Amino acid sequence: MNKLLIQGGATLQGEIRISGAKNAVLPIMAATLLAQGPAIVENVPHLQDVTTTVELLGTMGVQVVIDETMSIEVDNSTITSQVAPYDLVKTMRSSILVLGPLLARYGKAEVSLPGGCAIGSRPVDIHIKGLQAMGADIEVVNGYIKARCDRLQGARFVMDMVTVTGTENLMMAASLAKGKTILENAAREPEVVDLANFLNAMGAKITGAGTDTITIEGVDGLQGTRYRVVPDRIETGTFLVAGAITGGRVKLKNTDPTLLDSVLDKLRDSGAEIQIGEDWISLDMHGQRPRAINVRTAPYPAFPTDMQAQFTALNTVAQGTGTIVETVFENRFMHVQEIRRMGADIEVEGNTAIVRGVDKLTAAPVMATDLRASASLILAGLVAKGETEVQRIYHIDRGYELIEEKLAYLGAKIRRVPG
Amino acid sequence: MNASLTFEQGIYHLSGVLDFQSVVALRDQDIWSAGEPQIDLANVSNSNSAGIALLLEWLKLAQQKGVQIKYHNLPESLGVIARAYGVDQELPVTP
Repeated sequence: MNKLLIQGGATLQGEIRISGAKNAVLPIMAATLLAQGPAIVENVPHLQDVTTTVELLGTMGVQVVIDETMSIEVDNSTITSQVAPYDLVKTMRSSILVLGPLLARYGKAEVSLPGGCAIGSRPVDIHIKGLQAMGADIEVVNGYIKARCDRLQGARFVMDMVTVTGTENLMMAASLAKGKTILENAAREPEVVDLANFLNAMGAKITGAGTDTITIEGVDGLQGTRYRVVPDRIETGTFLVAGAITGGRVKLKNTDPTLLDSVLDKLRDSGAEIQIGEDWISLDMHGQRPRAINVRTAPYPAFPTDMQAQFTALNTVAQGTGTIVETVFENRFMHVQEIRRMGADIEVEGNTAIVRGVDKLTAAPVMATDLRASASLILAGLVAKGETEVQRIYHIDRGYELIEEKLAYLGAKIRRVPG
Repeated sequence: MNASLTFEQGIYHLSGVLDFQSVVALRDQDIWSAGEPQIDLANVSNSNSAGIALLLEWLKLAQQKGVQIKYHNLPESLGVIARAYGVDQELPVTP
């Protein structure tokens, strides 16, 4: 099992390119199941979850090929099975995203229920109820969601909680349903908008993506297309925090500043000078220590839960005291215990972490518990005195493409070693 | 088929485009009667991961048959994909 070794103290400076968004590419790859004809997806990050999705499609008999630019071409004309087996679903909860497309296109689907999750419950009930509202016959037996239908029928469906994958699954299914579907209380995340853009490029008729009401006029068929996925806003935010926490100056290219308003506002509050262009963002701390900031996570366009752990790390070395309130997921302060081992002063009360900035963190062996927690430990390691060892970094490989190469390019002293 | 395999002076020469359509037919060609096959990839004009799948499939068959297989002149496009997916060290490539 690999680990990362980080020698703290380097001030990050330089430019890097941001990868395509994992949270956009996974639903888009699932949506290729809807197409009649090959679909080509560009700007695909090389991540474990992408590989797992390729494997999932492959087990169904779908042809997936990758070229040297990491574009993925998916041709579902050879599909032989509509089953997402437990062995794959248990490693990647977003496998549930094939449920809607399989059902809408082939009239049947069997998808294993995902298992437990380290960062709280993420119910699949909404996916099931929404598809049932569209006329699907669904039962849960032997750990599998087994769904059948003739043709899905358009419906009005109010989601009782905001869910990104639920919105995406139902939007994909409704694209081939007969008639109009209206999804109320829909997720507004940019990745939902990107999926809608992809579906529309294939011939779907979707309006309202990016608002809480999405309307889908079902069509009889969708055609393959070529599509470039949106840049990864969470990777962008993470590297901006890396620049801020080290008092550095970084420029991130191939990104989209319009997706990060709430994060950029918080970074400005911390003392960063932010400049933006059409597809780039620069951050300059002018060598200053960040100021503590208060953060409250909420669904987009508010501050993203996937940036909470990174800002917790930023506050650990900031001037003053900042509070972090997590309202999206339960049990998402697992990184706190590890960062405390590096000398951070953090107190957790319910869904709130109170972080009192300290002058210095000190290196320690720490263990990653989930994807974004891993990122926060690396960020803490960048400013800790001594060599920090981050274990269980397979979490980080699920969401960050070439993270140590990119950080090293910015001047961090970081290396991956076996063991 | 948009790829071909020819045998000259003890070496198989692979040329054309390696994609999902062409590699299935190539996989089924007999490259084993000449003993330990050597395959020159210099004239592969284009390829995606289907090409890597073919090279790994031939490697697996060679191991099952207990013979050695060698690849020469791996195109950079295939090298990029092999490195990205961590299989570059498994492919028996010689210049």
